[in-house]
Parts: sequence; C-alpha cells; structure tokens
Amino acid sequence: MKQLNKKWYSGMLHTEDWWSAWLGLFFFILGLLSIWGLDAVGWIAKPKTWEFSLLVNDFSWSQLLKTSSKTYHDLHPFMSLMLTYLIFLTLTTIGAYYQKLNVKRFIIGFTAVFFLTWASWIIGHEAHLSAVDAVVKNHNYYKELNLTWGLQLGGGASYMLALIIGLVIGNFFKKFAQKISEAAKPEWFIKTGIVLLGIKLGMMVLKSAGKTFELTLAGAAAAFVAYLLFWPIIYYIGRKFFKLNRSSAAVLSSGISICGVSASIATAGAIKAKPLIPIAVSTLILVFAMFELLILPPLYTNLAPNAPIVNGAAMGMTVKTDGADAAAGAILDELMISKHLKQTGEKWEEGWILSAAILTKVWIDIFIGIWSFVLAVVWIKNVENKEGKEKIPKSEIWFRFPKFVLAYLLVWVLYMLIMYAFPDIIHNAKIGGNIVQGSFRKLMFMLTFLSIGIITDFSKLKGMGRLALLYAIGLFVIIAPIAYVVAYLFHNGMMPVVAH
Amino acid sequence: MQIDLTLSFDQFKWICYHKKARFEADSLEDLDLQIKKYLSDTTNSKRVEARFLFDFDKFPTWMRQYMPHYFNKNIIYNL
Repeated sequence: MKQLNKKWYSGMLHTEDWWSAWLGLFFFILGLLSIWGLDAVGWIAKPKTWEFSLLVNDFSWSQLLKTSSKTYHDLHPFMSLMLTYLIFLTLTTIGAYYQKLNVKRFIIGFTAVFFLTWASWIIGHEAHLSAVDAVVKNHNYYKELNLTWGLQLGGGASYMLALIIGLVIGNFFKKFAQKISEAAKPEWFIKTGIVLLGIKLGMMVLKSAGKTFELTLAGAAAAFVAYLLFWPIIYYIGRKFFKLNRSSAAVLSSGISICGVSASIATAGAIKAKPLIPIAVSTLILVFAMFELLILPPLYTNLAPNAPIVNGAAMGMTVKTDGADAAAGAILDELMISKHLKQTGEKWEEGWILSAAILTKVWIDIFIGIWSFVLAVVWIKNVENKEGKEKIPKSEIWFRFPKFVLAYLLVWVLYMLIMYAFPDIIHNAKIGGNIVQGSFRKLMFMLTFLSIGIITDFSKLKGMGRLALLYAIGLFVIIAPIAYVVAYLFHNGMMPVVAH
Repeated sequence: MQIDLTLSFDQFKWICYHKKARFEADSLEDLDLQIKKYLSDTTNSKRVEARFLFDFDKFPTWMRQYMPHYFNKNIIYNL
C-alpha cells in the first residue's frame, strides 16, 4: 500500500508519530477527568518494593503490585495488572490497525512485550536491587526490611533490567525477537511517554516557573550551539580523513550529530541520497545508541554527581534517537537521585534530570525539519547546480516536523493554563495528572526499554568498517566532550527541586 | 499543466511511475531526462510542473517509526 505525504494531514492516522500524539492526548484527557471527581486512571497497576524471602514465605500479589489510586483499592492487584494489559492492548492495537501493521502479529508481540516488561519492572523493585538506605516519604525500606546488602539503584534497577532482557532476546533469541518485533516500537512508546511528560513540565512550572523556563531556554540554546558545531566537524572529518562521498558524509554527520535515525532519513531525503545510505547509517546509529545508553548514565553519575542538570542536558545532546535518549535520561534520573539520597539524605524530585535530557532532544527534533529544508536548498544550488528548475515544497518542513512534540507542548501549556486560570481545581487535577505522568508514563518508558533492546542486534555492526570507525570516533572523541562543555556552559549551577 | 508522479526505489535504482508510464534509472538526473522526453512526446504543453511524491512504504517497517517522510520535489519542465 502506498504511503505518500501529499496533503498537510497525510499520515495523521497511519504514522507512529501521530499515534504517539493521539495516545498521549487521550491519556491526558482521561487524567483531567479527576477535576470533576471522576478517577478514570487509578486502575493502572503499579509495582511495589518487595523482599525476596518475605515473598517466598508468604506469596501474595499485593506484595508486588497495587493500583495507582485508592479509588480502586478493592480491585485485586493481579486484576489491576490484567486490566492494564487489556486497556493498553486495545488502544495500541487500534493504533497498529491504522498504521497498517499486521494486527495478529502485533497482538502476539504486544502480549509478550507487555508481560516481559512487567516481569522486569517487578523484579527490578526487589528491595536488594532498588531500596535506598534513606528516608523517603516517611519510609526507609532498606532499614524496615532489615537488608544486609543492596545495590541501592532506585527505579534504575527496573529500567536496566528491562534493557538487558530486551538485549538478550534481540541478540540470542533472534527468532523470538523476530516474532514479537511487530510490537517492539520504542519510538512510538517513548514519544507517547514524552507527551505525558508534558504534564510533569506543567507541574514543574507551578513549583518553580523560573527554573522550568530557564531549563527550557537553556536546552534550546545549548542544542542550537552544539548542533552548529557537531555537523561541520563530522562532515569535514568524514570527507577529509575517511574519504566518504558527499551524500554518505552528510547523512552520517546528521545521524551522529543531530538526532540519529530521524535526522539521517531527513538529511538523506533532503539531499536525495539513495535510500540505501540512510538504511545502513540507521543500523549503525541504533547499535551505537545502545552503547551510549549503557555507558553514559553510570559514567556521568559517578564523574559528576553534583551536576545533575548538566549531565541530563549533555545526555540529550549525545545519545541519539528519542527512545535511547529518554531511556538514558530516565536511568540517569534514577541513578543520580539514588546516589544523592544515599550520600546526603536529601531527595531530588524526579523528572528534572530527565526533562533536561528530553528538552535538549526535543529542540533538536524541531530543528531537523528546518535544517533539512536549508540543506536541500543548499544542495540543489551548490552541489546539484539545479537552480531555477527544481523547487523544494515548503510543506517538507511540516512533513518532517515531529508531531508528538506538538502534543507534548500542547499538554504542557494546557496543564499550566488550567492550573493558573483555575487555582481552585489544582488539587483535583493533580490526582489524575500525577497518575498519568507517573504510572502511565513509566509504563511507556518501561515498554521502550524492553523494545529498544529487542530491536538492537549487535551483529549488524559486521561489515560496517569505515562508517563504524568514524561513528565511534565522532561520538566518543568529538560529540560527547563538546556536548558536555556546551551543557556545562548553559546549565551550570541549575539543580532539581528538592522533594518534600 | 501539472502532473503527479510516485517516486520509489529498488536496491540501487530509482523508480518513478504514474497511471500511464513507468521509468527506471540509476540516478535522479537520468530519471528527469526520461520524464522530460516522455512529456515532450505525449503532451502539447510548453511548461509542465511535475510533483514527485516519494512512496515511503518501500522503507523498512522498523525505520518508519523514526521519520515518516523521505522527500517530495517539484520540477518545472520547459518543453
């Protein structure tokens, strides 16, 4: 079936990007119903901190899971999980149908991805992995459960476990990975999660408007500066030292320096490179994104434990693809909060470090369409010498614009306006809002972690030779250090709000 | 006169087609030449604006979630 972008509304029903917006907005609206006293979201299951020996001695689902709000406290925890499964399966299957995916394969795949995700999420909440020796919300689970040892990773344990399980499936159980790959959609899941993060940003404005806007503007400025530095440097090295042709150098430069796969496809389209080039480069980007995701969060946490926002912003500019960046930001968020809590007894509010990582990435996403348009015009005039004959339709900017970003900004602004215009309803609105930006968003993030592992096959690096070498040098010698310096310049001194 | 064409690819070849004709070439420049010749032979118009719409369905499924658009382009042929 043809997939043409002809009208401005083309793709509204059949692209993952638009479906992230629809799904995110739907959950947002469900959450808002709490303003009128209707809790339409509290049924979603939520993992609890549990301890292995206690569970073995006296198994009960209520040790592992609970519903997200007290409205549904009569619902059995296992039934809450099944209800969560059915609702998410139904909504994503509707999306899969309109996206022309194979619905039967999607249902099988989603079922496997969903339950593997929850298994990772629950196991990751075992106290020896997650509990931190500090008081949080009047509880110190580490002491209350009499632990003698623990990794003290906080929520990061679940994220890393999901990632590892996904990677094991993607690299050692390839037939199974193939079977469930129809539903392993990290970009769809993470973009939906990012839309829901718009609520968190709205809440952050209420708590500290100055800090939130400072974070947003610093993210834009840093992304813009980094962007202008990365691209020409990588392009020059690719041409001069690796003897790549113009098309390959341009596509690879965008892939490494901007936003991974999206940027490489957009750039290749802009310069009308043969589609084989972005396909090869994208494979490379995905594999390297996994290295970044595994290496950078623990590295930054240990090297700069007192620069949380700088670390988050640097992550946003270094880790390619929205999925891997948000995943890395989420791991960094959890690891840094746990480390700071363990060391000082003070708990940073979650979401600030993640938002720093997302905000730089979102600005980069927005720039992609504009950059591709500029590049297309430059390419026609200076490389193809076709001035006056070929025209680039301005609609190209719109077709390449990430639509989930519109939903993210819409949710953020709407939530903020509602809160400022009607202060009397803040309490009620927060009931639904907290669950949607908490349990719903985290589930989308967890699905992303597992899915991104499933679709990453390290063996695809074979035969990439020059391109892989340039990518590795570009990323770790040029991009990561420059991104950190730029992040430091624009975010130095910014700290997350302390949780109460 | 305006004409809409679908653009696609197969391994190393660019493919372009509409209801009545299909073209294949190794480069977009060669494709342009073929189309220009075809239009000269089949229309009386002196100026034809061709709108090329890329069929993204030919991209691997796993890649579509990252970016749902390759490129569209318009070319004015003065015949």
